[in-house]
Amino acid sequence: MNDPDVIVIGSGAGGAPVAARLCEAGATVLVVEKGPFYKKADFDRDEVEWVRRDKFIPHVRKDPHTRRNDEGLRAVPTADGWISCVVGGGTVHMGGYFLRAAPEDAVQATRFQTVQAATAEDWPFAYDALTRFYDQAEQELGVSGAPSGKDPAIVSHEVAGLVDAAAKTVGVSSAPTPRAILTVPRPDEDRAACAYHALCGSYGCPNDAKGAMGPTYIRRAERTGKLILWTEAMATRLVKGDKGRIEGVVVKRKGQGETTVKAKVVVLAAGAIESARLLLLSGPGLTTSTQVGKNLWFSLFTEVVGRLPRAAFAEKVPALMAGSPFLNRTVMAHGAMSDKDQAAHRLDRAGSLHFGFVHDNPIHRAERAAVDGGFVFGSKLKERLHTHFREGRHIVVEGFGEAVPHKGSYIDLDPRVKDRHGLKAARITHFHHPRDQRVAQVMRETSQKVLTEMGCTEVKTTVGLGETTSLQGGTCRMGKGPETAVVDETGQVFGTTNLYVTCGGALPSSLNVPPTLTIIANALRVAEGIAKARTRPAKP
Amino acid sequence: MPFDRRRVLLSGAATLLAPACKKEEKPAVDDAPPPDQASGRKGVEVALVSAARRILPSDGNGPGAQEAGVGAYVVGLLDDPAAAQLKSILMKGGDFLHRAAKNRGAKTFADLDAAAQDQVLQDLLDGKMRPNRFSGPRFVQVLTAVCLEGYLCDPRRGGNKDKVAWTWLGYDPKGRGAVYE
Repeated sequence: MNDPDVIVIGSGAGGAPVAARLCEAGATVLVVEKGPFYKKADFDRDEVEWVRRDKFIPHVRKDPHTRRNDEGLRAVPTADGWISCVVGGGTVHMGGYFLRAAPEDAVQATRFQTVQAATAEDWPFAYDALTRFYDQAEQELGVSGAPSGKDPAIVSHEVAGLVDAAAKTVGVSSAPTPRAILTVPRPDEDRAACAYHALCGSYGCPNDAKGAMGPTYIRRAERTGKLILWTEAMATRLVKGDKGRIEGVVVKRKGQGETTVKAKVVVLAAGAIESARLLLLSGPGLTTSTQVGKNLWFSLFTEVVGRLPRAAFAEKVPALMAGSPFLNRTVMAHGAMSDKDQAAHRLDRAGSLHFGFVHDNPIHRAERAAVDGGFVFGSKLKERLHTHFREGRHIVVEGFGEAVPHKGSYIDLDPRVKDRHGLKAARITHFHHPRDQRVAQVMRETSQKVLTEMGCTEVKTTVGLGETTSLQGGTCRMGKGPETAVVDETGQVFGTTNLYVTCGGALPSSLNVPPTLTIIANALRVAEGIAKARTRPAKP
Repeated sequence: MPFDRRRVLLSGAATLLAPACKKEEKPAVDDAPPPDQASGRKGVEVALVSAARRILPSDGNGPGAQEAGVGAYVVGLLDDPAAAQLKSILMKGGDFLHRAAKNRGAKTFADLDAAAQDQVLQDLLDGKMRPNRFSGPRFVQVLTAVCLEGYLCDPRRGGNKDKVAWTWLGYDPKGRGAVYE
């Protein structure tokens, strides 16, 4: 193989869009992906196969991360922090809640000036600079119900009317969630429209309606004939050259040993934890930034569930028990709060609340039925199963909130634990900032109010304050200088001439929505800059 | 351990299965049957199949483990490389059940009556019986998790025979979504 022009490490939301754009600009691009490439023919609805047997992430004994709640504690091996080691990364099994960031997300440092111990950073470019890339991503992926999209929103379940009415009474917004799910088929792209099996999260899509990276940007890249895709290949080190130049990447390929590949440009898009880990594994002096691995954030998470009893709603909502279509409502989008609530909670915003039916994995639902209310087995368990599945619908409200980056949350290299290749594992140190508690409280209370207003019974908080570790960022964040950030506004790592970061690691703020769409839009923005810079005529 | 939303979406197993991956703790008290009565594979299998039938009994309220083929599914996991992390606790737990039956004068766990089988499982769950090689509550929870797998899995995996559990609970992953009617 001749040396490619560009090496992209990771094929998820941060990597695939860059590969597509640079291939389309005429560059030869090598994508290095740690995992295999599953296609739509591989995807079925086997819960044991896909959800319960380490299909997307490595087993903790082979490729561990370690985690601790604070410095001074011993970190223990965990699978937390892996997103998904397959072509397409986490977009393969995402639910695809594709809301844009809000302008306030771009100025977190400005907003958090009085928040003690926050280490926030404003985006180094104006929010509006991202607008046309949001447009591109929404149109190219086929985000249904998107601001720029021509595709209509996915069809909503009758219960959505209950959510809308209850939210109005409570005084918060409710609207269909834009989803990275096609509602209009694209035969030219070999993508069918959604079949409404309503099993998006956890699974790959068997008809490519989901806007995962494989059938979208990877496919676009493949069509140029310029893409080289190495699967089951892990980048283990960046090779440093002179004057800030990265000469290439050391890659371990399954069954083929280790090889060093050289390229003009290297793009790091392995997720916030693994991208920072690779920078750290590559040794000191690679960047002038002091911030690699620091300022880690995970999307703040709450979960509240409630039950609509069949007997009470049989007449009001005849289709209550119909498993399809989606409930699909976003309440309190972007965490917008009333002036009164802002003052009461000392917050300007909280988080978005996604209303859906409890995920339709029957084994997992049965497990929850066995556990909730005290563990049981035997006839009591079967009674619970029948009630759970047959006598009502469970609504789950997932809160996606803004986490405060601070010095206590970061990744570094674990001094004791190594992976199967003998490389030091990423050690996650993470705890929540006190402001996160207040955000979570608003999300919980609003979820409870709306569920109760809907007529749900058994409303209870199942996660009071948590995080979605697969929605991760901050560790290679963009910002104004190497003292506070790792990459500049073009996505280039400070102190290097040809190394970029485009995954969630580059995002300084966790947003009040899942960040996947914003990662893609930013990757498209950075890719455009690389393409322009690399095709510019040399100065005389 | 902090909550991670990912475990719900992608590792749903974490609710009951995650403990199988954890390091065993040494219990303070050991009142397990003596280890020199190790039961062998057959005794373990019989115990697991019988225990599965108590976790999901054939009680007239829908199909039980027996009708759904759950026992064979659970035994099959012992040789399934994809479930390797489950083998240790299932083997230890099954061995314990077999030896507990012998201590009660029965030949196998299956020879205990239903009430006695339930009592052993409940005592493990409540910590009244404390095995010295594994956590009793953890074993019962993991066994319940894999029984629910065998009950509600895609029938091609060997459990949920003829979709009996799906039919009883109204779950259908095909067609235009699941319809609970």
